[in-house]
Amino acid sequence: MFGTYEKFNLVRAEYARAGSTQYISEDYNRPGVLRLGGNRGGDPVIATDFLFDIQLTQNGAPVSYTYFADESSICLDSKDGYVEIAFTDRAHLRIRGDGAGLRLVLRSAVGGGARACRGLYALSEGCGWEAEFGKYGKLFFRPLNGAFLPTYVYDDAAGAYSAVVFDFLPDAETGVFEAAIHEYMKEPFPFGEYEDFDDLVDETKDEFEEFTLKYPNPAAGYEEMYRYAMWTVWSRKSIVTEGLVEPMILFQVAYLPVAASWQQSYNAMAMLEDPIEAWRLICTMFEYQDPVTGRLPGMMSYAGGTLGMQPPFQGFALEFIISKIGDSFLTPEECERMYPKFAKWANYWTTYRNAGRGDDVIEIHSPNESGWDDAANFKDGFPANDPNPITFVILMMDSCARLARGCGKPDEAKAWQKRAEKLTKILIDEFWDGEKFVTKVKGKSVDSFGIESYQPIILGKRLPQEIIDKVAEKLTAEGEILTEIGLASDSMKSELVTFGISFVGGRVVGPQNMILTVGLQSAGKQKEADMIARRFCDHVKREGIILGYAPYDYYPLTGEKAEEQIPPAITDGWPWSSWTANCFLTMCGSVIGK
Amino acid sequence: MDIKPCMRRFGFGHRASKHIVVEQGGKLWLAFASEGAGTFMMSEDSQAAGLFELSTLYDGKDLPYTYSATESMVEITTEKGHVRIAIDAEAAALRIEAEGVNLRFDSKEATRQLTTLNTAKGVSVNIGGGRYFFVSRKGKMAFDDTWLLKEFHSAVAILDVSPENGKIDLIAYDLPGDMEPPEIIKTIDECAKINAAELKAFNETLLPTPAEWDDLREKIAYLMWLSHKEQPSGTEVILQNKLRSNATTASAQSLVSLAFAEATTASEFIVALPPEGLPAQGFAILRMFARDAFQKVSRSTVFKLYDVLNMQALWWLENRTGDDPNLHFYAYRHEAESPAAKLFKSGEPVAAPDLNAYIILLCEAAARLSEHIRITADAVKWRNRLNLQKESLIANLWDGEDFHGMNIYTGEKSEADTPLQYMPLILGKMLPVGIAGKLAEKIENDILDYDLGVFIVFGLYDAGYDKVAKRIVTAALKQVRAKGIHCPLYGAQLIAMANSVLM
Repeated sequence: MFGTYEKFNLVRAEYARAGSTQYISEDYNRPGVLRLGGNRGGDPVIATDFLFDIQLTQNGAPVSYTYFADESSICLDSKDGYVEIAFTDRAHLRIRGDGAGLRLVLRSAVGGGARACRGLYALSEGCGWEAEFGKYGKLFFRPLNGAFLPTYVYDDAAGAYSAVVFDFLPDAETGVFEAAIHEYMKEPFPFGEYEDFDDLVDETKDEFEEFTLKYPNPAAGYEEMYRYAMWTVWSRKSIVTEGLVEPMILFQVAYLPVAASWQQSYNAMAMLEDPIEAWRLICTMFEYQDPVTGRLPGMMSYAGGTLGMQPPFQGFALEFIISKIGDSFLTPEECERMYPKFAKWANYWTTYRNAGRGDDVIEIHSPNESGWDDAANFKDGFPANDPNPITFVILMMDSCARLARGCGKPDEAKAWQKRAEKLTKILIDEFWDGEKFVTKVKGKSVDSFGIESYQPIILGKRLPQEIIDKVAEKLTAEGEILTEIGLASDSMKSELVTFGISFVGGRVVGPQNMILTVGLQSAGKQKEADMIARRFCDHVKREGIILGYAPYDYYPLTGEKAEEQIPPAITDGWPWSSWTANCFLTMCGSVIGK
Repeated sequence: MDIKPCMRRFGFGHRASKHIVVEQGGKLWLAFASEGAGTFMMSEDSQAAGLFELSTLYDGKDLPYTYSATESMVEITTEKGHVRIAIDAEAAALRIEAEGVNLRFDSKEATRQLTTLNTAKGVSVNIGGGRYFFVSRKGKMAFDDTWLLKEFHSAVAILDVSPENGKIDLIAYDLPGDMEPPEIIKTIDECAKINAAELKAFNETLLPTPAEWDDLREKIAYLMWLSHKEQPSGTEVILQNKLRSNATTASAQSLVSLAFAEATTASEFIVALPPEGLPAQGFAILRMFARDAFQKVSRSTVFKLYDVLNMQALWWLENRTGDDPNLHFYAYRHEAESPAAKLFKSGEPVAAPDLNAYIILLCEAAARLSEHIRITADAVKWRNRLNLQKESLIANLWDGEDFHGMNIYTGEKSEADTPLQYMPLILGKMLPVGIAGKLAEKIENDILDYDLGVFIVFGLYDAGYDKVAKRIVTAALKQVRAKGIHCPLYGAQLIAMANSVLM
């Protein structure tokens, strides 16, 4: 899957495993050097003190190595030996080596040296060493075969360790070693007998294969990348902690290890072969719903904490899943359980984001509430009456109607239906200008060309045919929003377009391509949906599972070269993300014709 | 009371409010207590003291000002007019009234990466999960909430307020995201009066101290009162500096508890946080017994304290004992108060004199509590353990002159290290007279410069070295009077020591 000689390496992808907080990435600044990190502390890989250089050693000296990683383990190879590392979902990783040792050197990403370490000592039973890393937790090093040698230097003046190095050394006679490294916050995960390393590898392979069964078969020609995408989602599955009470899919492992509210529903949309799991993911964020206002948090992490708010995407996701596989998973009990929560969330928007007109039209106070952080339709500021969150609210209302029916509340279902229909009518009457849907600020339409102007296509056949036709026409006009690699977030004819560090300022991003192609499909425009999805997914096959791509290396409007470089940063243009993975999976699994 | 000396480091605030007014470079800033939460986009480090720098203007020009600050009001004086600021804790608001001047609240770079909104109801500045929300009852607000599309945040927040008929009446709320601002019921003067009375009442909950130190006591009381923070569980803790950090530890709260006269109040601090880290709870509980303060403590509170001691004792027994179950060690440097101490030269894990002394006191406190709640069998067990631990401490860590640390595995001793070598003095009369005497004669006044100094002083006093203890405490109080208080937790300890040792 990933490796020194493979199409994709770990510079931008992050090697991880479902149910583990540890990851391995390749140092962008020092090619060939892998680094081991952990994401419980919440710091991104570019700013954390809790990061180890991984060195392969022979006779105590580091040697250069190549690597290859698949879903079950990562192997580091040198001329005369190798080391293999396998993550588990039981708070530890396993290591084995033959003809080589492994050295972990604690090296902060931000010049902090070894300051993350707050102490280490050998356990009295002689079973290993425990090291403490403050907010990052603890590591317990357990040699199973061969030797373990920590080296550490404390700088009294600095009040911190200046060097912390852990060596796993092969047995002098056999040349092999095996070890485990456990990670935990306070109390150690009990260790005992360890399964055979090969058995562990096989179990992990089986687990991943089991996971792939949640997805429908992809369209022909996308099989290999589909597997990468499934792996990306699987490997970002979180553990359960005080902060995350249910397993969720993290956005990224090393850069931004957060569980974003609406992304759980994105993930659900792709898992059509396991509607129970899909429904569970849609419902996860409701565990944190504000009991008074009904608001869902924007993001959750291992540290807990919640920031901002994201759109009410759950209705859209639920409608999509039901349109594909029916609603048998919505038992009366589930409807009873979730209807009040869905209702509270829908009413949150129409209450706390009400535009004050006496109806259900909402206004948003920041672009995060639309999901599109730097979309051009927000250039006139806030509060903004934006058709996209309004559309999501309509779909939430329809979902509320469905759930109300499902738990035997027909009158309430009818009331929700009526509200949804009324809001749809307002959306069409007031926010469609004949060419596109418009955002309004202080009653005035915002003059913008962004893709968000067409997102209400997700209402499908609720929209009049002439609107559907116009949207399809606009989205397929070459050289505007449609590029060779899919739909750009802003028209190439806009002066505001940038391919630099941005989210939806002009780059071609996975979520928008998924949403629009699903919308076109639901509106009966399969040919258009297929064409767009293929362009995007073909590009993912070439470039990997990045959130956003520059469609050109020049700006079509001016002919100017697009010089911006995307650095290794918490930015959408750099690391692999589960968000584009789930969008790719939906497009290949459900949009592109088979 | 003049709190101006505190304005740079701690600011003007209220026990129950996140609002803090702080000084930087002669100007006042509106700030919020530290929440310790991050933002979505990585913010650049800000050197700003707070969220908004407060300026007074006249005719469009900056007008210099001076200010005075008491526990209940900040008053700004200019040549054209004045400003008054008080905290309305009930409304979670800062009350700002001005006459004769315009006001400007300039975030400079402090609120980069945030969104703002100028609405008909007021000006909203989103801070993490909450809002700084300005409402004008008198005066016209001008605010630019332009969204900087390519920068992912609003324009730098600058609020200008011009007077209406010469006057400004402004409210700055601290609001959760979706909450409507509460009604304002009290006048600014009423708020100031209430706050002054609250602080006075709080002062009266602290242990009595000699009248000659009343000025210092007032300042300490203010800092302790200001530095309260309510935890999500509903319990309160007192922070080292509410403006800078919301982090604290269970052992720090045990130290804070020492200052309270009422044992129930003291107990609330001891149990406020999960019992982790240095086991200082036993020491704090024994201080309450020394004052015979347990008579009015409810059984449920006593059980909570007992549980805490049990949990601590069990943890150290299960996780930090070697072959000798009566000798405990620090596994890591940062488990100790002094990670750079010479104690660690013999290599971890280290059996340390301070740690073992804490645990002996923990056993004694547990024995006393079990007697108090009539679990006599437990009391016997605790005393047995205590005695064994005392023997082990002296046998392993005392060399006839000093206490040392010792590597649990190799037996190698570390150098004697101030102040840790004196820490067994906290055992008071439990420490053999010969040992206590040897230690007492070496202690200098500056022992209180160390965070652990207070323990040692109490120990000296309990062991009968009251003259030494008085000398040290008096010197410490004089120094604080001259140089100011660096931390409310230290202030709490000074009050406790002044009460025990000087009265």
